[in-house]
Amino acid sequence: MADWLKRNKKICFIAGSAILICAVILCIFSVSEDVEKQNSDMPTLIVETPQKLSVSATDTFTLDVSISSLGEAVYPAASMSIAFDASRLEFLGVEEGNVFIKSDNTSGQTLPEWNYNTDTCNKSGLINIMYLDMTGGKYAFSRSLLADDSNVVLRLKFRLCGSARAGDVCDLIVEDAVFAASDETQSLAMTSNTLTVKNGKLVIGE
Amino acid sequence: MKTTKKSMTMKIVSIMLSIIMIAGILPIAVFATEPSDTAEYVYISVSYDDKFKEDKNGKPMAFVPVSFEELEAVDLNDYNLSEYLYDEDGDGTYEITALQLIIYAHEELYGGDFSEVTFTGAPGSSYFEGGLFGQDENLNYYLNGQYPLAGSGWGATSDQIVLEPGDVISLAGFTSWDFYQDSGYGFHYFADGEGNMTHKYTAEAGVACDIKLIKGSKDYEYNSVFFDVPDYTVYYGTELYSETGSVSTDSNACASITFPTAGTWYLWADGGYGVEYPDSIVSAPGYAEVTVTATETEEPREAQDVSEVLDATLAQLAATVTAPAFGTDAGEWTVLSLARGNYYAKDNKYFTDYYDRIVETVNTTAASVNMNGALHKNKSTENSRLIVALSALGKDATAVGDWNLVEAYSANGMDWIKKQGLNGTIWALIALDSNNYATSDATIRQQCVDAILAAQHNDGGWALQANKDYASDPDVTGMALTALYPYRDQEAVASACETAFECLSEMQHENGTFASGGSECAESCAWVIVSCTTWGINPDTDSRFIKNGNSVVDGLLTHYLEDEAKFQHIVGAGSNAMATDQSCYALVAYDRFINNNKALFDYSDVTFSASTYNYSATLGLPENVENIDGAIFNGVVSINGWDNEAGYKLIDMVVSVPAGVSVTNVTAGDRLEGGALSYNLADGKLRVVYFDSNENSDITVEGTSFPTALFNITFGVPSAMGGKLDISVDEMSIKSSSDSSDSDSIEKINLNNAKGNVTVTEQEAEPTFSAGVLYTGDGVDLIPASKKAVAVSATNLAGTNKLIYNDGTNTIELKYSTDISEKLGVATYIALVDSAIAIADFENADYYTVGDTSDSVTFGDINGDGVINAQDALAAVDMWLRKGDAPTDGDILTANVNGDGRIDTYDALGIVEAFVYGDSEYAVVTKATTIFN
Repeated sequence: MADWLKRNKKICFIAGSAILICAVILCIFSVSEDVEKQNSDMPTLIVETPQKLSVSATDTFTLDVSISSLGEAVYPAASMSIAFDASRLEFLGVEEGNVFIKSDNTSGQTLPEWNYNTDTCNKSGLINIMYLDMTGGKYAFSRSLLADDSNVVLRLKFRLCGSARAGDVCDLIVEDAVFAASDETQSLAMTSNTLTVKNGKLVIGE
Repeated sequence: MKTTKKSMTMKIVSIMLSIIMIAGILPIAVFATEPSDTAEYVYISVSYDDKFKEDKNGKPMAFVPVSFEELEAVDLNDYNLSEYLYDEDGDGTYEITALQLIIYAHEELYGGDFSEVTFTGAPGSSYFEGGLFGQDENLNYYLNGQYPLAGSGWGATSDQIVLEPGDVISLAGFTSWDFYQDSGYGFHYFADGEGNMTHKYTAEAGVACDIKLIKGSKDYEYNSVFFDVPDYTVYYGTELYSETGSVSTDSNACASITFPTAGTWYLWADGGYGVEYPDSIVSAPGYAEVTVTATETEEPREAQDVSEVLDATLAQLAATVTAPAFGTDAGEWTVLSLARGNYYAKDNKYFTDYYDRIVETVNTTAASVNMNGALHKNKSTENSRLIVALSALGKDATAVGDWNLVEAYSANGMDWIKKQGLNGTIWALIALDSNNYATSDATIRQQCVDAILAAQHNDGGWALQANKDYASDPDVTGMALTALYPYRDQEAVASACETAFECLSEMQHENGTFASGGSECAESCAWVIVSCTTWGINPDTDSRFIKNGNSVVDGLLTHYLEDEAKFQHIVGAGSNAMATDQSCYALVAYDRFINNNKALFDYSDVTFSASTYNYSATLGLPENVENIDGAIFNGVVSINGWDNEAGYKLIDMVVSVPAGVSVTNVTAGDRLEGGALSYNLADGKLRVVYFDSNENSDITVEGTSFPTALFNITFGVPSAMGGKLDISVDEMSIKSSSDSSDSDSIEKINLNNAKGNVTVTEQEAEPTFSAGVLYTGDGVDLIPASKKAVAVSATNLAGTNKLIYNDGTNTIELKYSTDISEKLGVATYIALVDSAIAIADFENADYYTVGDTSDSVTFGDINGDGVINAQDALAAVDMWLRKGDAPTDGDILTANVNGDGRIDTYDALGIVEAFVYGDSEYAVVTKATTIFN
């Protein structure tokens, strides 16, 4: 009887531990799903990159920078700082996306004019781009101007440097980004965790 | 048997016909003129009801002159009216009577045939029964406005009205017979000032002419009377019955008419309706002529020639001021007159010797004052006066000896400029514009303009007193007007100056002079003349500056002492050097004006010595360094411009470094690109070279704001070393090629201000402070004019220390500036403070309390999140757009990245530019490196 009880206690302990571990795992998964769900609602700035780029490609190519959504506010300014490997990529400039800052029947559709300097970017390996609506809101990003599917804010134009080799991996890391509203509490910014980012990764193949 | 005048008349007629035949070939206009001698004429008016009757040519018969010769031609015998021949005085000669005039008028004027007129009665009681002037018998005639009497109670008929030269017969017919019985009956006439009947007025065009309307009538005893005719319409025009206008007589029967143009004008009043018979015209019309002459204007005043006085005064000055030197008396003002008066050529030894003396003085004085080329700690006018004189000689004030006199305005700011009040501001502007000098602080000129406009007194002029209710002073008003002239395109300036000239005009005395401080003085007249000539106004002929026939030039000349060729401050007080100087350059200004030369302070006609330098460099150093077991400090070499298109390939520089001092690092300025830097310190000389040895690239500078840092030098001071360390950039050049024989391949840099000193204090534990003004609010965009941003460099502070300023009145917590501290290598704090606090107070260590940890500010990081991005740029835009609350002092400090006196879109663009160009330096940081030396 004493042995049976002793053996049963061990079984109970093992079983209880297993149940507890399962519960903890379930909780973790549950919380993780919540976080995932929450993050999936947050606007995300995405550096779209192809799966692989041939090292023999001599032409220029572009990488889309898109936004998943915007908040309720209007955003008269936006900026982003994207680090890249300047020894393998040469940044050539910015091409237009399809996110407008103004669209109406009378004046048509207006795309933002981004400020940047390619020389500085290539020297520092950091692409600093900014749009500023000097009117404070007449030409601003807003949810109502987004398309239903893809919203490309801008396109980064690159060319591979001669030093690039097959197998190189070039990360494009968004170090800072903000879609700024006049009321800063409504801004979408990495610094305030109201904007998430998805960095790009460019794999150079044969 | 009585003789008639017929034979004589026939002779006269024969002669007249001969004359007429001869004269027939003469221009008709000759006969169209008015009778020159009214004594030989009588006049007749014929009316019917309310209007004058038209003659055979359709012209109203009003006051028509008829000569006696013409009347003599009317022989009653020819009309079978011999019995009406009338010899009133029994001298055997028949008189000329009104009957002849009426016959003449009927036939010659009206074009009728008198034989068809029924003329009945007997001599003395004749009667026009019908047909005269196409009318019936219902007519009446007056002589000279009076009922003609043959005797008491007995009217005279036309055959016995003897005409005298100048007589006027008024004949009126009426439709209604009621006129006889109505009290309104009579003949309208115009009257002179005495109330006497007149048919002639004279007037001046544009000047009111007084007239009066009367009515000649008779009482029941046939006594003639004249009545005033009040409330009656009088018409006027250049033709009778073609009215230009009308007036109504007042209760005194008077009216005033202003005839707009010269020439003959006509007045008329219609005949009127009766009083008792209001449906009947019972009075005859009136008529007068007005000879209107052109407005009497004074002969246009011809600008007087003052060359005799001017030449004598210039000669006197040249003879007595033989060695002009730096100073108010016998100095710059005399040079100004002699230079602008073209007394000496610019290369005359008189001027070159003066310049040599000036260079010596400037080198000594500017070094002593040690305020970026300022010649006096408090008097900016010392610089201004000298700049004005040197520029008149074609000398570049940016390179006088070792100093740039112009930089003092930017470096020391409005605090220094305004220390002498409005005078300083005005003269700074005149000096800067004398040669369109560039300023490193691009806002200085506008700050001066705004300050002058803000100081305008309520009466429209300017004075040194701050209270705008005080009466303006002509001298200061004239100076302000002169200073503002180059800015006349600004609406506010144009408006202010228009008012100011009106104010000046009102200040002028009857003798043409102006008074300052209650005394009519030469200097006041002088400055009115200078300001007028600057603005293109002739002070000798413009009516605004002429009173009682005396112009301001006349007023000035009343102060002239011919024997001495000098001017008096006040008439009778004897000659005065200042009065002579100012009067002389005022006469130079006037003489230049009337000879169509450039204005006194418009030096666009002066040939300036070709500037040796395209660029100037400065060396920014901390004023004090504490040496506690060794110390380091930074020196920043900046340049005031750059041409990215010039193809510069290399910069080299030699810096004198005091013995014992090391150089621990040298870096290129953030905005400098295209080269690599090498340096070496040997024998007390730091040699720096910047170029691209591999690709020989062009050296460029990012951005457009200047000055910008070229090199940052970190000096090391060994322990136990103290004293004043002099550091200077001795050589610097920018080369575009290696061809040393090509002078265009090298840009030499003006190094006058690329020097300074650092006071190293050993073992000094207590902090010391040096302070400067970063900028002063201009009151336009968000930064009040009452606020200025100060930077305080503090030694012996870690930089994380909290620094609180308290002078007993103001308590201010300063913010640690990361950017400026890193730049200068010395902990530097900034704050937005009341402009009234003297900058020297911020250098008083007694006013500071040092705490534990300070908040730090980073320019451009307006929201203080540690990242400068679009949020900050937008914040700057929103501030300027006035969205949200007014910015705090902290907001202003971080947002005003270009360091001017306002927050505007330039700051937003500055943030964008800094973001895009990486870590390039804000203008406000660059400026901070220049304000401590």
